[in-house]
Amino acid sequence: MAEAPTKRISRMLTLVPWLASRPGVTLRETAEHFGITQETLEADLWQIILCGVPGYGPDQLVDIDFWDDGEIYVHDVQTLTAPLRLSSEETTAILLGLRALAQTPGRDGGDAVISAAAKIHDALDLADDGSQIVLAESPPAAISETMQDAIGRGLRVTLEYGAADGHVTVRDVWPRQALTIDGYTYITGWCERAESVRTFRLDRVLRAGLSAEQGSTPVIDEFPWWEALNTHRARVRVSAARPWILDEAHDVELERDEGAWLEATIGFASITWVTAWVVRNSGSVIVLDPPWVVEAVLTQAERLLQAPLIRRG
Amino acid sequence: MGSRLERTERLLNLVFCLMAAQRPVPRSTIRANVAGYDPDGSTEAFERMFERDKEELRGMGVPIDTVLDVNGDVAGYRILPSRYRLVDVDLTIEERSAVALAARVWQGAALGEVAVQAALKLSATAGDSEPPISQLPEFARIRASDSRLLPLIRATAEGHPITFDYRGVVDDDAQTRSIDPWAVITRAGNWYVVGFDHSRVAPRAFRMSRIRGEVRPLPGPMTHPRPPDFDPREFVTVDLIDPVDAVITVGQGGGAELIRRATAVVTAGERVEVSVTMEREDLIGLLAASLAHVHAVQPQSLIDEVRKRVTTVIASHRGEHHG
Repeated sequence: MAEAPTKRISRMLTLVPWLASRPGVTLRETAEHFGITQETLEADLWQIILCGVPGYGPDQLVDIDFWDDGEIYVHDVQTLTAPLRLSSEETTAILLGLRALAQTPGRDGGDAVISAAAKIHDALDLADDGSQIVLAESPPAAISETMQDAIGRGLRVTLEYGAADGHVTVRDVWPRQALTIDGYTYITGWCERAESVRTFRLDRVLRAGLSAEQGSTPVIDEFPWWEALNTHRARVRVSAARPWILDEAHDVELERDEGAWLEATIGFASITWVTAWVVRNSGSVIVLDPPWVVEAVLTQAERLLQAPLIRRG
Repeated sequence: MGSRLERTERLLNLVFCLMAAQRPVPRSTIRANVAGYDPDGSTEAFERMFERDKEELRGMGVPIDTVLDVNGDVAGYRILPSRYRLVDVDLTIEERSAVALAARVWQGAALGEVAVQAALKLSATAGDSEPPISQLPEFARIRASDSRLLPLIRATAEGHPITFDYRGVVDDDAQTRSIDPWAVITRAGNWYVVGFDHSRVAPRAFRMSRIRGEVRPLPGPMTHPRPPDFDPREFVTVDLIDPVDAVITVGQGGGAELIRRATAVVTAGERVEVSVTMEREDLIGLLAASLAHVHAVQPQSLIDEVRKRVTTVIASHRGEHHG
């Protein structure tokens, strides 16, 4: 698929100063940083060296040497000594990303996340105090700090946890990693009660206490947390008049727009969540596939009708 | 019409020409000298092409100034390097790594490419490189993949009014709304734009997924800029679309999610009375999820609503199952 010329030009305008300050950087390394193939990079370079200021003589063109051993040397940048200033979207994207990181306990980078945001704010002379674009729901500071400590020092914590169905349990957990999705922070770790890796939402942690026990941290390899939150997939039909219903689901892929109905597949971790979602939006969302999910939703719904509170009324 | 390749070349040449020039460059000079324009072609064809190129570059953020002469006629165009260049932010390698991590937060989402571009710009003039973004660990993710997020953020950051078609909580037809955007906020995974609604003459919150079609910019500055003491977080919390006050009695050890959102909690023996003010739909969903621990609900109509909805769900899924 042909790429939009503006996207390509934006990249080229960044590429020239980026290369100029890294003499001898390889094609492979550069392509990796820019998230493009080596072929695309070479095509970009071939294009750039044809450009320059009017006259277009040898001294008036961008001069880049990339023929030897895949190493790149910029001899003349023409006017491109610095990248184009950041657009408001670019600034927002980075500042929001930094903010999401700042609320994630135990991440890499520590204070650099905070100081980078401060420097960008100062250098760009931003009038906004950061409250224009808001990621909500930071976890309580005390719980965040406990988790930060536990992840950093490999300690165990005792969690009082209220699950999605409101049931409260007390669990001993070795937190291993934290991650923030859309403003919600999750902790992944070894849960002794479940005897396996579990993910907990930090705002559902009612209490967290550090235990002094040390040294026997269970080894958890790269935990595929995104997959864990989307273990199962289902195909659903949603009323086109209420498309926001799909916002509440994870990892949505829109498949068809049939006018009055949208068909999509969604990712989910628990049937309880699917049932609550379907009940909350009853009549506007129907699970189509796979049959076991339809069956499970029906079973849970029928059980709800049997609840004393519902039968009484 | 030039091919795509020639077009890239022409646009780049235009940037070089306007940035290198000591004084504004007249259209005639651009036409005659910038490689990519056809000096022998028709004037109309050149004008069309140049207008489009100029707007395209401006759309990318390239600051092309139109310079007028004493008579108010267009003398020429230029790009001031001081307006073009990103100021030196002077980040350490640790800070640049943090910025790269921040770009990774958007991977696959609405601002994904924008964020990568920004991170590369911020490290462009540094001598050493932080690791490539794709090789970094992941600590956070923002999933918003909605194409409306970009124009909303742009309008909010730059402070210009916008208009869009909006469908309210009742499933009526979409109505055109015009607002001065004050803030963009996420709450429970949903994105909202908060601003001054011109037709309602009051601040309002709009859920992004209820915006139909495109977000269009309106000319002119905002007539109602954001008040200095305005906190969008409070606004979106307080301004529920269909709020309901309820008191729910749960057993000990249950109803954690309700308790978390409670305005008041009273413990009486084995039972806990939880008061909440919530969006009606959210509360009904929460009740359906935690019914096993719930002993009583006031108002009772909420239970009738849950029953009605569960019955609808069973009917619609039975139909699906056998049909």
